[in-house]
Amino acid sequence: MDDISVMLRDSAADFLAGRHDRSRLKGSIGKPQLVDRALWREMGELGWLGLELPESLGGTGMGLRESTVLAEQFGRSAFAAPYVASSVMPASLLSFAGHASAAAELSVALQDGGKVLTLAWQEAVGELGFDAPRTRLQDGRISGLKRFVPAVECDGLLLVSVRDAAGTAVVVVAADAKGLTIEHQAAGLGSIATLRFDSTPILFDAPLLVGDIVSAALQRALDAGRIALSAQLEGLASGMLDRTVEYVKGRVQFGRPIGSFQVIQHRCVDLYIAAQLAGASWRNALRAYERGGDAAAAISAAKARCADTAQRVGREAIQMHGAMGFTEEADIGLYVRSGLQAYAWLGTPLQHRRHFMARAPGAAATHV
Amino acid sequence: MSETESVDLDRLSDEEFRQGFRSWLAANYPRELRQDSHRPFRRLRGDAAVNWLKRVHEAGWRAPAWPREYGGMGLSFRKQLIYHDELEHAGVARIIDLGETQLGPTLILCGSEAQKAHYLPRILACDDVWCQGYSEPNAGSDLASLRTSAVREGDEFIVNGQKIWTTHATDSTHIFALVRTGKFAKKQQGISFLLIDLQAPGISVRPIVNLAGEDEFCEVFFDNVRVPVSQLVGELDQGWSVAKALLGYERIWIGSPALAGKALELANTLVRELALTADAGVMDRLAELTADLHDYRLLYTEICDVVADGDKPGPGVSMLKVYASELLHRLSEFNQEVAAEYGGIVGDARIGATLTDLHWQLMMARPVTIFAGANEIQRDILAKTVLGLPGEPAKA
Repeated sequence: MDDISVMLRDSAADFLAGRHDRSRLKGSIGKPQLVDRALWREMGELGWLGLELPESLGGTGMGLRESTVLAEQFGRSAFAAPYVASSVMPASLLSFAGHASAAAELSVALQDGGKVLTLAWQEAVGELGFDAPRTRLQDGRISGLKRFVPAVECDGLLLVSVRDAAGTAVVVVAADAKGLTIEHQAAGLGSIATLRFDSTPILFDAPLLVGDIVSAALQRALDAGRIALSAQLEGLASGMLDRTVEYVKGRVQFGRPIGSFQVIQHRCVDLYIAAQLAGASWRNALRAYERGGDAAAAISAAKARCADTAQRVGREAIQMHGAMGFTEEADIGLYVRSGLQAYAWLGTPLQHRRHFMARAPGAAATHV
Repeated sequence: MSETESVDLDRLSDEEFRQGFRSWLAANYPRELRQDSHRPFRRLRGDAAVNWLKRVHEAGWRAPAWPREYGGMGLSFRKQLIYHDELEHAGVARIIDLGETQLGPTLILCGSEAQKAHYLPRILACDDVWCQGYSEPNAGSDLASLRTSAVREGDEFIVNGQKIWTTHATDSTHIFALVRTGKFAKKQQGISFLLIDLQAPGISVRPIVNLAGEDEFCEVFFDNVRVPVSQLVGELDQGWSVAKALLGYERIWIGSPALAGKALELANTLVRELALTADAGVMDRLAELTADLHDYRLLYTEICDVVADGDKPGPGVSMLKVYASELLHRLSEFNQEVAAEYGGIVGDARIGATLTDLHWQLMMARPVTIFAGANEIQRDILAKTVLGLPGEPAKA
């Protein structure tokens, strides 16, 4: 790990220890949670938002590598802020934007944490890509349906994939615009929303991105999002494992810590190995992304591995915490819930493993 | 003068080194001895092993990890990784060459000058072939409970007892053994490391047939065997530390993904031959195994890189052996299961154009989770050293 990454990791750990109060996340099962805007602005002040932005848009020369350091720490603490959805992915997309003044204005809003941006690209369950959005752009207004959109704030800014007569484009829409209905549902530690656009006006008079670049830019944003989300999922797994190991060291039954029982020890070891594999997998995906070639197989392998690992560690952590693990008082439930949303969002392990298999060198054949 | 002595290996780039070894193997390794669908984990033993190793030695490719002053190649750890990678790539059969991989490095660390001068060249030239005498009937995972005794009498030790699971003892000329020379409160103390000629009077060897039908391992009996005291390696009663000196490196090589890679190749061949590529259930299982090996190779490389950068292997390397061996289990089981009726055949089966032996590969995968410290022992080690979990409380 380089010096900047170590510094970021340590400052994130300090910030989370001081400012992240997990008890505030409790007692709201089933209620959609909006973004904690005070914390989001603090993250902006710390310079953590929009790391993927190029220097021409106020970026600092950092990028996805540094974002994964933060995302992993956020996972370790079950931090609820939508860092991947509202910092990594929008910043990645903005770096391709053709509409210069819009990109500049959005970059400022993103970096200082004043607004929460999010991508609205998905239209149906199980979509991995965005090849042909059905949402239409006509005369500066859009109509259509977007689903499973995380971090939609009532004053948020939505980056929406659409198509018009010329092809695909990305437009910006204010979440409080006329002609937009938002239906929130609780998901993970936050929310996802269904967005119904009915002649909803776009901002900046013109699309943010048009032409051939749209597809590549959206793909790059999804890639970056999947890698950062994988790091966060591995962080969730590692955080749950740390808590579980501490718990079994302290919990005494039959006159001895339950962590001295071999059956508990071996289960913890297996989870440790699983978390190590998850780390190796997302770090490989990050390197493949940075090289710029075809990173699809590496990214799918990482997303599948990390999502599965977080669920597996979570289920085992509940069991090893005993009855306490089944309560909302223990923190484990927060981790598991956070992992559940990230498990499916941007593609499930089953989908990603099939995607990986179709691209793995030496694989027998493909059925997808 | 050998082929490699004429070039300075340190000055070759990693890629040049790789290409050099790759083309030498392609030109020299006998095609019929390659690992294939029939014998994906093929091992060489006896004359076949010795003949190949002599050829390797003459060409200067022997003992990649040994320092050059002792006749080895003196490769950096990074180049050693490439060396092993190329062996795998070329399908070179494994050889359990304990003289090269264990005894030689142990002597280099702990042996006397006379032991090094006598034994090291003989190991390289295959004049001596070594087996390892550690396990006993009542000292397997709990190795320190071993009881084979060595009692000093003048300039000799008198050795009595029994070793078991001694791989390739019938193919070997010598055995390096852990023997009990003293009784101390801590059972790891009082063990000594002895070099013993298998021709010595009082030694008898009995092969044991394993579940794959091979007689790879043996029992070795010692009945008043006289061993000169000059054959003691390291200090008297300190043999446990001598034997442990190389443990970290051993666990790295044991954790190699190579065998699992061969099993996955067979899996892909079977799926094709059995026309299962459109079967989503089969293919999802294969995808999972493929992803497991993919990610394991990444973890293995990360850990090897740390060692290549100069760190000593930490206790965490135990996880490599655990994961690699269990992945090998799962792959060999997949192969047997998807092959349906073929999977029930004990012996050769021809599936389409592929000759295979599914029973052999299933059974040969079994011992990997058992030997060199059963996986349960590795998990104990990991729990205590890496996770810091408490030991069992002392009995009241």
